[in-house]
Amino acid sequence: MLTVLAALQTQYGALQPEDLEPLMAGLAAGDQEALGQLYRRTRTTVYGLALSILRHGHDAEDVTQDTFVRAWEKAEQYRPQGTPMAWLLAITRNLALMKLRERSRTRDLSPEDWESFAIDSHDVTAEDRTVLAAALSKLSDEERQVVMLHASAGLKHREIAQLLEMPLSTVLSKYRRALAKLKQTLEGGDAT
Amino acid sequence: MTEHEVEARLRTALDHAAPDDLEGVLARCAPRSGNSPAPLPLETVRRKKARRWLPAAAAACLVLALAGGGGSWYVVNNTVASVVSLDVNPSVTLNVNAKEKVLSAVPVNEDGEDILGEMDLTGAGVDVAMNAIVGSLLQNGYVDELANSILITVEDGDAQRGARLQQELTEQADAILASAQVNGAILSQTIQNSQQLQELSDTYGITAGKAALIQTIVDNGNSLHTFEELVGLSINDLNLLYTSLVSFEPADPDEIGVIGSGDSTAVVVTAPIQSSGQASDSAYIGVEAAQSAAFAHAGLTGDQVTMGEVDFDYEDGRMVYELEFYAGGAEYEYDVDASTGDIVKASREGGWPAQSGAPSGGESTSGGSGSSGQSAGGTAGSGGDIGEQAALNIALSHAGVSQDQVYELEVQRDWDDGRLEYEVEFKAGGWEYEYTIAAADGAILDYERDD
Repeated sequence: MLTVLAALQTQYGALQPEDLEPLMAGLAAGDQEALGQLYRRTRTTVYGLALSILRHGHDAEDVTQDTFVRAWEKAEQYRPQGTPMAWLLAITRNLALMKLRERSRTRDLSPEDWESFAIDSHDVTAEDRTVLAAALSKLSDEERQVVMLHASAGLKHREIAQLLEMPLSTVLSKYRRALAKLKQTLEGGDAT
Repeated sequence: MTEHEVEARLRTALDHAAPDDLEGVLARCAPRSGNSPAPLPLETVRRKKARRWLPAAAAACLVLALAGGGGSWYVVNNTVASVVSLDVNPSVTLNVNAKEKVLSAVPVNEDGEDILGEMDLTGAGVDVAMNAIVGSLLQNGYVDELANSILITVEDGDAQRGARLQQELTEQADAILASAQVNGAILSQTIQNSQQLQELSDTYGITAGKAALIQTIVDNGNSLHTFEELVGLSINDLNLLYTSLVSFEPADPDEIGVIGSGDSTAVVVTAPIQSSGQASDSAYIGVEAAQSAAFAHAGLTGDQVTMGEVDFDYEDGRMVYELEFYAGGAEYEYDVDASTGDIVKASREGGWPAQSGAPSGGESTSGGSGSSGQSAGGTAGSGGDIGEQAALNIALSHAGVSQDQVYELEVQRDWDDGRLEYEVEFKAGGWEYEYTIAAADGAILDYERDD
């Protein structure tokens, strides 16, 4: 068995595989503390992907919780090959798409939904709401998924392409376009 | 506002909005030890796939059968005997009873929903359902000259019945494609239900058939592909990879293929994957164009070269042509982006003028030293090149050994991910070392030690 002594190039930016792998082993061994650490480190990324697919705060929260329960259940099947984040996000995407199919179509975020979005969170500022509203209303589904994965997880475009099953060139163009739209909206222009 | 600031604001907003309810998660995840999972019910688990009810249905039917009368009729007609899946990119699963009637047709992805549309296949013969689905695939443009591959999988506990169904359905799909004047390529397989396949299928939202095909490629490929890497590929690309994999090692038709490492959950394929037709590579640049790109990069012309193997492979998130050729006493290996013709990897071994101080042992004796800064392919250089001996010295120094302590030494200069690198391998003190050194500045990009 090869012992990897170092991998100088990190794969997931802030969320490094070598940090997450021991947590996956902990999950497989039934360690709730490992699950807690995994949750704290990755909940934002998982939620970001779920929200970008579902466009609905409460559904995204449900999928976030389901993702970690699913990871707990399936941890023994995880094979340590340096891609724990991709594995976790594949679960998230799968669960989000299942929920989407249940709903049969994506609901637009109505003002009522928006009011209920993260209503219990005192941490969401007015500026946060502006940014999220722009991401949820101005971007296409794919643009939103690409930019949220890049922003919240630091995933490389190539990794996003693999996860979302898109050509790399498509991911790059959608990323650029999404950022331009967000920038324009946040600066007060009317993005198209 | 810069793009970086936009991203930072979005990241902050998500961080604030993301649920922080670890207690809620833990309440559903009871502590356990070792291999005794005891998670509390998960909402999504309750939405089981149709074939998951097979054991429960069998048990229920057994009760009815024991009650006599119409019990056996009920068993035959309402129990899933086989699960047939069709994959292109759309994926559809048919649950079929012992009379080969469809009990339910289940789309596995969004494209599968498009393909099934309003069709109600319940009660139809599986051959009729196959006809309808392949027709819909053609009508909706999912099978054409650019991507012509279909995967047909029969999942059946009765291997003999599964093999017969596989054969019949494959012939039928072939005939439909031929009548539509499409040169289709069909992969078909019969598999037995396994926990591992089910888990892969559930995790990635794909059919058990596609999971089995990917696992076959992962387990038998020379490259270090992971399942996750390949899961997003279309069946056509997987067919190209699979065909490359088996083209030089024809499968023994009598062989029973076991995928995995022999544990009880290993995927069992009751026969090797059958392949008919040629997977289309029309979406790619073609072998000739790939050769031209590689020859130009190596500074060679076609008449100087003796070709070796040409395969498809998947590297760094893209399909590549893997070329092997020989010229001037050197062996060249190239990966050429199958879509763009870009050089993804290039390596040359041997054929360089030998100089004193060259590393000794192994194949490197024919490699000599490349300390002049000249690039492997003559045009591949990017920045400087510290040379072979300097790269070796860096690796030796890092490993804490001297050159006279090492054996089976190999130093190879590669063009990988747009940069020139040295791959240094040697053994010393009972350990095997592998280093990747950047040719430009001598930085250690990666290293491994194996006992």
